[in-house]
Amino acid sequence: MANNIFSHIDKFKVGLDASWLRNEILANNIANVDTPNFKRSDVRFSKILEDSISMKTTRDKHINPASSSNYSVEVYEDSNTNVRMDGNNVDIEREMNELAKNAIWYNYLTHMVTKEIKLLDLAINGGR
Amino acid sequence: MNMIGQVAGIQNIGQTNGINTNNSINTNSNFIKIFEDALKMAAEADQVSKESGTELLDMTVEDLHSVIIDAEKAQLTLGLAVQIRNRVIDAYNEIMRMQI
Amino acid sequence: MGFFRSMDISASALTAERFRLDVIAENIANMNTTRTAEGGPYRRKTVSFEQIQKPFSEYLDTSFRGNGVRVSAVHEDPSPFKLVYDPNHPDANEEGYVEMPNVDIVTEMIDMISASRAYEANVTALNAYKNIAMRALEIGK
Repeated sequence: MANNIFSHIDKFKVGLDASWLRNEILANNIANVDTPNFKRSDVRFSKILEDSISMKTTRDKHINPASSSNYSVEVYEDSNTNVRMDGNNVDIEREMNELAKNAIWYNYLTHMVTKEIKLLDLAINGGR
Repeated sequence: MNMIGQVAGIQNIGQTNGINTNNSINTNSNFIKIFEDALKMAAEADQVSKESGTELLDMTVEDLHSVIIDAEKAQLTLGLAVQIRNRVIDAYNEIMRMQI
Repeated sequence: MGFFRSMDISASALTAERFRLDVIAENIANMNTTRTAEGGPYRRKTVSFEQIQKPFSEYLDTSFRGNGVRVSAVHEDPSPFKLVYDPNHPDANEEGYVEMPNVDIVTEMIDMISASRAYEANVTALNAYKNIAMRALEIGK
């Protein structure tokens, strides 16, 4: 019955999982800036829209496409960037930039989860 | 039996349906089912929260936010179950007062 | 503890870069050491790094194996010693040349700056992790 009251939180949680993993991967890139032949890795977080076959309808017969989209989290090794003499392709400034962006994204997601929790709390307990 | 059937219309408290003996058993079981579902959900959520807590103590948890989100969900679910229970009791008392 | 892994990764780099700085400092300190315990001038040392891999049991589905960095070895630089003409030096050979350590101050300074920069970057990474960890703990508040 109330399983779908958490659907927004669950969506945000997928983002949080990806962001957490990305922080680890970027930290490893930075840690290995001086390791010979090391190639940086990163996370690709993208949305996959399921096709209409698996779309569900709610009681109101209202099709909600957002609830049927999935996200894929993919770790990949990046060999495209410039390689230095020691075979290492880590650009420290870029990694630090991505780290900052990722931290902001994580903060944004936790903020949204907190808002959602407070909203649900109000809806459930606010009447009394 | 009829009073309890009336209690089942908890989401329709504003409406006047009159006593409908044909539907009383159906609405009765719907109502009980909602209450049971709520309790089951609360128990499940509490279980998940406990497991996360154990993972935390065992130090096997992979990220911080999962445990915390599970705990918040458990709290909300339990709150929901408690609120339903309170509403049920209130409605039942209300009906009992209407007797005679 | 799985969720501390980011911190462990950054910490491993701090340790490795600190060790590298220590070796550079030793090179610089011994730039003019013509007589070592083993005899002969001081020979420049370098460090090499390697990535730490996660143990197999921790791979999970993401197949991301990086788990930080460590010093794999300390090498002695095989490049030849510098010959400096100084016949009055107690360690001068028959032709008046002294074998000086193969340490070049400019190279060492560049390495030192590189190691410092890497060290600072890893401190930043550590702080980024602390930031998101604290935010996670405040979900719902």
